[in-house]
Amino acid sequence: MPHIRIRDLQKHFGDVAVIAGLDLDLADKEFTVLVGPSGCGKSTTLRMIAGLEEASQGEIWIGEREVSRLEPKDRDIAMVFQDYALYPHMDVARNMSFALRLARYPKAEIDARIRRVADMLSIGHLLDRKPAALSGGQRQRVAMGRALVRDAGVFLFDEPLSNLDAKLRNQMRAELALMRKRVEKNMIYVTHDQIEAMTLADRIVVMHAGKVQQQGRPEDLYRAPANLFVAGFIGAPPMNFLPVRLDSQHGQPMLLGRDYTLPVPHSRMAALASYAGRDIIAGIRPSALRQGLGPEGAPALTLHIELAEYVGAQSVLVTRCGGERVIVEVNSEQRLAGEGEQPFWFDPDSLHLFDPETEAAIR
Amino acid sequence: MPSRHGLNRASPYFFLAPAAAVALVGLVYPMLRSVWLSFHEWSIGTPPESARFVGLENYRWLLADDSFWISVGVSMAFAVAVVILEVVLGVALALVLDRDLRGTSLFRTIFILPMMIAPIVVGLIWRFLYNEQFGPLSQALKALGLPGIPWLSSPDMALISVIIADVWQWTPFIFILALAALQGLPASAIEAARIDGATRWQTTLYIKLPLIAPVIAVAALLRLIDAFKVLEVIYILTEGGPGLSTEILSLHIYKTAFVSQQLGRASALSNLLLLIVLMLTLLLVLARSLRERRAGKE
Repeated sequence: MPHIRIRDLQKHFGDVAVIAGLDLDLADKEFTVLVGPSGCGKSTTLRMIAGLEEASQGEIWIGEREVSRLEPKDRDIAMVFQDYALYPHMDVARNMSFALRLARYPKAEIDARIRRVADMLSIGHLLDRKPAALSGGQRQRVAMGRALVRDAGVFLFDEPLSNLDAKLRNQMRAELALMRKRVEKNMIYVTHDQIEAMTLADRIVVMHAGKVQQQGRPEDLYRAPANLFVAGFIGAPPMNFLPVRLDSQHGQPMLLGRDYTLPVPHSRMAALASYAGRDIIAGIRPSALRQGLGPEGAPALTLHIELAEYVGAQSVLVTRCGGERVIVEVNSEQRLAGEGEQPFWFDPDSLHLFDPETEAAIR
Repeated sequence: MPSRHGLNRASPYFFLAPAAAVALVGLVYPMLRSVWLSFHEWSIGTPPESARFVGLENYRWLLADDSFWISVGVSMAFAVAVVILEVVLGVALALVLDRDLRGTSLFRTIFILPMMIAPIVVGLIWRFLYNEQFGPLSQALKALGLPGIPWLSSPDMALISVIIADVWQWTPFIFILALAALQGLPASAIEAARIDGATRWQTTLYIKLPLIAPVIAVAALLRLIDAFKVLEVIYILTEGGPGLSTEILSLHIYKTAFVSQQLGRASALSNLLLLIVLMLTLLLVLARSLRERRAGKE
């Protein structure tokens, strides 16, 4: 079973480097999500793995084979496209069996596979329909089915849910997660939606400007973002950033902002040694701030609540801390608990610190 | 004041009136006149009052006339041959040029030029090319030490020669429509086929061609109708000869009307031609809707 190894993968369009030296190692049977904003190079990377886009340089290994010069059909892959890419003139069964028919599988085998996958995706009743007679969600299932009937080593997904409406997208996302448990294959999934990435991935690769910013398990990326970009991209609502300066106050090292003071987390004392007197960016997640003063000695920020957005079980408070905007996520029972200036406490270790020049996390 | 409703109901007819008037003068009247004429015997130059009603005599005469049936045969052979050749060549060219390589846009432009030339000029160009003494084709054959070909002087060769000229002029029509259809195909479906393991040839055969088939069918139908009406090129090249070997229906009509000056019979002929073209069209439309209904049921 293939393990995927990518070394120094590059893609240039003229003088513009879209991907400038990408290295990736994907373990077998892993569900990897490439995530990043539009134009970060994630789709191009996927298309280079598929062989639809030629790499300008670098190596792509699937299992024991270097495939970067091979045709897509010789790479042992199946792919689901963003716009489904169904063959409009073939019915669902023929769409799904196209690859198998080309490979001259016996008819009984083809029928059995289609039946099995169609049952799994609940599209058995659609087999004799043309794509034009299907809804968006049904087309999406057929596109998945067409990939799944093939016993490919690697499955590639190029933003497969982005053309669906929000409700259907949530439903399909859950089904994908279920399917992922039944089909133990190497899967690479591209999306710009960090929620999809967090819910589906064994491993997330965050990309920005043609470079890998960080990769790891979803919880690792959430708990310990490697840099400002990842910190701001993973998590919704996004992390709050407050500019501070490392200084001492009454003989104690403190992070001083214009209108606020933050404690220095003990775990980062040593790493901060060289930052005395320098600017730092402090980050804190909206859910790490809690209404009230908290236990004895817990640090707190005084926030001026400007707006409370009711989402359901959660409410999002839009507040100001001096000149900075700070987003807080609270349980909705607390929503009406007050307006105007209020204290919000937090655990000092929930602070993230970043070097403003390199944008890397200080740990 | 007229109600808004009344105004709305009348206004479409008001706006359609000019077009309807033009159609009446340019289309409906000539057609009715030709039907009327086909039941009469009348020569050019004599007053219309001298036309004599003969009933179905013109049609009866035509259907018994060998030269009519010969020209039906010539027309059929010509039309079927040019449509098949033009579709095959036009689609093949479009498949070859449907890619982004340097120079393809130049070739695309060159290939559609023949279509832009007036048919009379096309006829003259090919008469020069086919000239058995001075024409470049004969010169080339001679230079290669090969025997000359009686392009237009042999009855067997003449039909082939006029077919070649028509294919040269009208392949671009199929080409340009096929190319547009190919470029309008969803790129991802073709990529999906590549991933599914289709070779370039299989992608063309199983994905591209079926998807552009409806466009090609319409283009071929238009060419078929036109092929039955073609006149100028053949008139310039052979005047229907040698013998009747290239006398297609439209040329036969022309000769009956303006050489034999039998307008009644010529009208009867053109009505029969109209009938043939109409039937062909209906047949294709019928076949198409049948196929669509079958596809809908699937």
